[in-house]
Amino acid sequence: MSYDIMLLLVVAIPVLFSALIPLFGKVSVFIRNFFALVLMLIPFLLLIIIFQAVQAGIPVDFVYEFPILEINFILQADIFSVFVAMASVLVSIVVLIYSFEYIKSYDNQNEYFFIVLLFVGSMMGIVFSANLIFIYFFWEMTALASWRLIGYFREKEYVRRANKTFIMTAAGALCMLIGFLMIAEQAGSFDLDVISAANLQGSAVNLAIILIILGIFSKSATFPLHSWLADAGIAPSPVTALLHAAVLVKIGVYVYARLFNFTIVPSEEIRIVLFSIVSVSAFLSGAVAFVEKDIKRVIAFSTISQIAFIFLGFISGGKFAFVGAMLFILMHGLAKAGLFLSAGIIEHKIHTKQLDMMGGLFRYMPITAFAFAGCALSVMGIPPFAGFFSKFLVIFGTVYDQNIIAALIFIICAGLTVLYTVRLFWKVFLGSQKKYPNIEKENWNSPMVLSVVSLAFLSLILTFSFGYLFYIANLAAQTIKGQGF
Amino acid sequence: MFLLLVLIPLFLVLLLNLNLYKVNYKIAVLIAGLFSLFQMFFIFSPNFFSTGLVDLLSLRFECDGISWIMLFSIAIVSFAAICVLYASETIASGKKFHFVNLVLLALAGMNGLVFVRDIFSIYVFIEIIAATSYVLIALDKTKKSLEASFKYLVISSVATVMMLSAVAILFMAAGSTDFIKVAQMYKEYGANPLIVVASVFFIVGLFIKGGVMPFHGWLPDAYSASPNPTSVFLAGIVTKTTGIYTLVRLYAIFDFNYSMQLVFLVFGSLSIVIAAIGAINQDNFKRMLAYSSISQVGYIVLAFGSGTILGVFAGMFHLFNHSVFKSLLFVNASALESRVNTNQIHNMSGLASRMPVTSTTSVIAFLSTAGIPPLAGFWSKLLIVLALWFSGNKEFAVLALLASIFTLTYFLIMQKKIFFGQLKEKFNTIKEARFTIRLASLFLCAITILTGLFFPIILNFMAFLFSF
Amino acid sequence: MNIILSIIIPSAAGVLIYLLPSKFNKTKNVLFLAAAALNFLIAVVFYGKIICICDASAYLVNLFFRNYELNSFMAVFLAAVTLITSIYAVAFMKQNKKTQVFYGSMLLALSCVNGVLFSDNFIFFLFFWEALMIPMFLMIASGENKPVPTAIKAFTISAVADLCLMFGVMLVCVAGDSFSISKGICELKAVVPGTYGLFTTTAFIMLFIGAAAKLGAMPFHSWIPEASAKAPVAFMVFMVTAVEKILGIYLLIRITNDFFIIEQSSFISVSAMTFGIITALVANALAMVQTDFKKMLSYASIGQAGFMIVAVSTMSVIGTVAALIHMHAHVIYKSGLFFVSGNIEKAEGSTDMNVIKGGLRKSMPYTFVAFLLSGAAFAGVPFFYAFYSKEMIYESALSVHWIFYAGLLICSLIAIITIINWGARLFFNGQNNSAFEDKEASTWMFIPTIIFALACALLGLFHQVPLKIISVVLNLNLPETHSNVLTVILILISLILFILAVLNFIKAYKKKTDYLGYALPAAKFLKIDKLNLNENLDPYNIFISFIKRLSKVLFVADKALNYFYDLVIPAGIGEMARSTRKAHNGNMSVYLLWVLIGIVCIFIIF
Repeated sequence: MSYDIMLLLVVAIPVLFSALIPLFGKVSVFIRNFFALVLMLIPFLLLIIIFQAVQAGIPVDFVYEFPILEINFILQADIFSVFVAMASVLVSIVVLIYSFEYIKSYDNQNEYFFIVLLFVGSMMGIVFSANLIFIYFFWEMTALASWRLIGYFREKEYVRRANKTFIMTAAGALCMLIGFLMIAEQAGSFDLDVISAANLQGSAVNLAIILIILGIFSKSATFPLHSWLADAGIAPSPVTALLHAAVLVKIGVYVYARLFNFTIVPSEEIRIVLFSIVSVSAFLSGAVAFVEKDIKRVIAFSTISQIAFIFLGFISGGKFAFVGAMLFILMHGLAKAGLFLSAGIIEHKIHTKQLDMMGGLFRYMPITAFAFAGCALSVMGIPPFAGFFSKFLVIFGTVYDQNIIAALIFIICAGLTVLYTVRLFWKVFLGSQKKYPNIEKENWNSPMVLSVVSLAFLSLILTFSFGYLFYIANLAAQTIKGQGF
Repeated sequence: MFLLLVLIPLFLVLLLNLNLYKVNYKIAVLIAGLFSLFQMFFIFSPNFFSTGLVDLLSLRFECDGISWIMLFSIAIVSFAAICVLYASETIASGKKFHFVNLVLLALAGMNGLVFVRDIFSIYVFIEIIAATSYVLIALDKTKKSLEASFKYLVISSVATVMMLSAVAILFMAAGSTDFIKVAQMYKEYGANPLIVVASVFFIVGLFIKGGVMPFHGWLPDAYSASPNPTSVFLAGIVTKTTGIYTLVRLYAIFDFNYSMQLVFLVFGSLSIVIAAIGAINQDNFKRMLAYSSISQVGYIVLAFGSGTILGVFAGMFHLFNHSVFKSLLFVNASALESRVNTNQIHNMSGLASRMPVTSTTSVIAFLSTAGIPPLAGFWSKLLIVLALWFSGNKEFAVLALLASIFTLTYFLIMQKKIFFGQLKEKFNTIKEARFTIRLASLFLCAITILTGLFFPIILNFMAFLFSF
Repeated sequence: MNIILSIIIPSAAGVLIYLLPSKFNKTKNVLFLAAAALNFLIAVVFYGKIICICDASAYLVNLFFRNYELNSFMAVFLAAVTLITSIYAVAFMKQNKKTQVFYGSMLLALSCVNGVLFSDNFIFFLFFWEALMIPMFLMIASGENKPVPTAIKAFTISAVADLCLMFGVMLVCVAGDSFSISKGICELKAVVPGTYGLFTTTAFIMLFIGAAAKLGAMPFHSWIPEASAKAPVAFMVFMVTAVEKILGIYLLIRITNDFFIIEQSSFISVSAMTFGIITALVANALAMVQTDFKKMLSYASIGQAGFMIVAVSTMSVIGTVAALIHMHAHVIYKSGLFFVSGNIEKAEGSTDMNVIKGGLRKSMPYTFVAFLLSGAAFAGVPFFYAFYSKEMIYESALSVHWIFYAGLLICSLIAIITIINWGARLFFNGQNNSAFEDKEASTWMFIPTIIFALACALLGLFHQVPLKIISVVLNLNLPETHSNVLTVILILISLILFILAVLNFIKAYKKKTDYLGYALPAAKFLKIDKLNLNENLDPYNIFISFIKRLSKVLFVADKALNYFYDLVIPAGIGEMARSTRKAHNGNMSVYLLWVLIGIVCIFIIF
């Protein structure tokens, strides 16, 4: 089977076969869970095979022309896209295993698994599609999936927030589509290679870039359009882990990198504008996370500020910054998913999300506490965990590309990250020793605890394989159009 | 061969009314249903386009790609309407018999309209359909529906007067009402004021019939007040065939100079935006759907306004999609009304748990209306925006795109109020809608999803149809 | 094998101690001691060997390990101190789950410090430097009476300071255009011949903050006194005195000698010296008024950190050598004093002045002797080790400006008064009637104390030997034109100082009150004793409350933005919808009117 068909299967299997999940659900819960897991594992294995091919330099792309219009369905795989795809599928598999036990106590579970698989499939679609229209196509599908997932619990208030998320992301996506149309008009076609060949400059492109960035910021929850992410804390925690930590917000960052590191080089003044917005977003969300009262909202705000770090890497455009940002996507995905999942375990056990009602949980759930601490340390960037390298490289890349002020602001934000993460850990696990009468004993073999521990363990292990990861990231960085060297 | 589609319904109406033997409404409904299914499969037959029996009373009948699409959507919507008719208890059985006759008559009218190639017979068939729809609206003789039908009658009589005078002027100028001759006439003295007045009158008449914004007054009342099957039939296809399809035909006659395009563009975008805002927190479910159909019709008119062949192609594709998901929404409205017997949104909530099929199909329908990717609505909206963008008028494309946010808002609000949220205690005994209504909604929903997912194949088929 | 062993073995042992179940306590202690001893062996065996383990990972980030003179000297010294502290720790601490955690994290910390000392690549230098934080947190957390808040405080302070260091390192890497410390050094010198562009000054300041924070200088010090009350004594010796000072001085020397070339009395060096002198003055003053012996010792060590910063930032050869020797001396006598405080704590249960009844001279004779020796070194009594290093610091400070020399003199005076006051109060007070009950520390606890005490005395007598080693290590040759007139004057002044302190003590002794003599009213006048009690003067709390207030403001701003999205936009659209609905009121004449308007518009367009 040629690599191109494999690439198509990676996208097609989750999207098309996810429709069968509700049917399996009618048959038995176990079969449905097993089938869902299989539907996730197959793309992961295919991705590993494709990765070998791409690393060996074999071009992998699947093309299907449309008759009259110049939109054609192209899937292209290069090291960067396969890396990001594998990172998100890996986290989605862990989240899926976690949600087998988490969702057991809630209703309309079939719809949950169906939408999760549809979501991961459309994520694969975005990562590999090399045509602007199909990027938009899968982009809106993720917006639809995130609407259904956030609105999972049917209370009126929750659905209102899900609607707000859907409208904000859809509005952003429409502005992005207008931007795409402008670029396609200038470059003559929607395909990325044609656009990058035309290497567009000049003021018309600037307006298009701003519109596209508006869309990207609405999806990856950066400063002006970030309020939907914090509100989405009301979704079940595997959803927040999947959407807000590992995958949904990464889509916006990935599309930014795909467009503005590989295809069009944004002009200098746009770069400055982006730096300022991103640093405001990092600082504001960091500060708000410091005083937030709800555990999920704290982690959500910390996601907003960590996403700003990744943006910093891609905006400064140099090779180090690109490598740092690329690795940051993986490290942050793992660590933040771990935080959200352990927040889920806590919420499952003591049925509250308010930080003031927690405290002294260390005695009751030591394993989750250690896993939470591991992931938190990786988010903070404390050495034995892999987060350190990516944070160092991102900021070093920015300094290397001569924007010292931005780097200084992000060092302050890194300090802020340490402050609010330590405060969070203190308030939840160590603080005032409250009594929890009817909390059940924490056991090892519950998939929820196992998945959180595996995420923390992964962030620790990746430090030792950092040489190899750095090597892959370097390979990916050869092709960026910024001032690579 | 294609003329059969006009003759068979007329023959069926005759057959039903000769009361050779006692025909109860069940059989009549069955016959009507069978006919619409027959139409659906008949148009796929190979020599469908062959021109048998054409020389009837020296009128020119033809069938090309555009009319094919119309026939297909007419068949689908009528099938849905008849399923709803069969399941609705509010209409007495005697009335159902009349309903079937009227629907068959309207079907004959519409099929005829689609084939005819001269402006006078267009006018005639429009009048036939209008007559049947007056009665259809007022079928259950409630005060509301009578008033709505009366309004429809008055306003469309204005439209009829205008169209008739326009046809008269054009006949006088061109010597014959055939499209080709009228088109030649337009080429020579298209600019003289009399012909301009005639074309304006003709367009205004069609706009009134189609329900485009400033002329839409009658539409919301007609749709919300009429009984369920009528609103499905009316909203699904009647206004679109009489109003919008005929605009495409005019496209061939008038030399489509810039000011004509501007009229289409301005009125199209006007109806999109204002209708969408009007629909936002509307309390009556069917009235909200009426507003949303005005705004979707606005999209089609906008597409025709772009002036390029791609625009017409996108408009027709959106017309087909819209007829499918709008009738699906009206079918859901009838399902809700049959179970909750009220249309007021504020006292419905949390019905998703009791009526899963209706809620999922309505989610799919409104996602397709708002143009969310995996479904057909996305492709047609995308085509419209592309056509507008590459035909030069970018601002209208941007307006069309941003208006789809309004569409999304009012449907999300509707979904939240009706289907999600806590179930009111007085509703926890209601069951899912009856079988035929569920059949209709699943059938329409399947069409939307399939057109969405297998868009490339459909694109090839449509390209062949339009002989690009 | 090579120097990398010194990183792998302690960390492996540490992790093993964590994982082994608690019933293996005995074996864990043995393992702990064995690991410390082995580490000492490795450090000695590989002393001075220039070993370059290059590109363990053959990519851009290669893992270099160079073994300079300075690094190996520091490593050997650290290994020795750790070995002695581990013996003391095993003897001192009772066997429970917490002590196992303590042993494990001590070994991990040891491997991290070795990593810092031997890594020649900036990324791994930072990696091990910041990796120190987790073992430090665990060590403090394994103390008693609710140590976790202090542990968190220490963690946050060092995390924030290390971020400044990281920023400084980045600037240096970019200037030197490479990650390797050794290669970077020679190029950097050429690139930065004393020019003070914005780039280099920020780099210097950031690195300086990182090093000063590690040394425990003023704004970053507030966790050390709290830790001394809560964390085990072994932590105070190993971490606070040995590791922090070694790393701090190592980085400071690297900065002043290798990364940057800064003239002697340029603006940067003078400001650094004032920073150092202020730390020294304030810390010594606070030390004087402490009521807890261990707290006094920790404030004194912050003061000595001030001394070393002053010495290093004179940017002169003699300054650097003086700093290194003073660090060496300080570690020895401070560990000795901390061990003494450990013994007292073991015997009396606490080191707080109003708890202990004093007069321990009879009940703990040997500890008293050790206290005398180390205390003398602490006070800078001639013929003790610290005296010579202090003289050199005075000389280097004088060479820059006499005001620094005066400041240092005042600090030493206060130090002498404090140590005499504590000596009298602890050992000569005499009220303790249960004098004869032998509460002397156990032999295994006593040996480390006496080793350090004797080291102070012996190194003092043969002070030429350490001077020679250190100048070889730093390969800076002391300027032979060492005018002995200047040294004589300096020695005389310190003697006068010493006499003054004794007189003050005698006067205070007569009044039998507090043994501070004149110093106490001076302290009260300057309200110093109030200074250390109230919480809100603690820089850490000021910093945290500032951040909290700022975040509250931003939190409100974010809520306003949220409010805008949630309520303002829906209300606006709702209003528009309501107006269109009203317009559509259903009577027909309105509809016909619209039709007319429509027709008129079309005609206009045509």
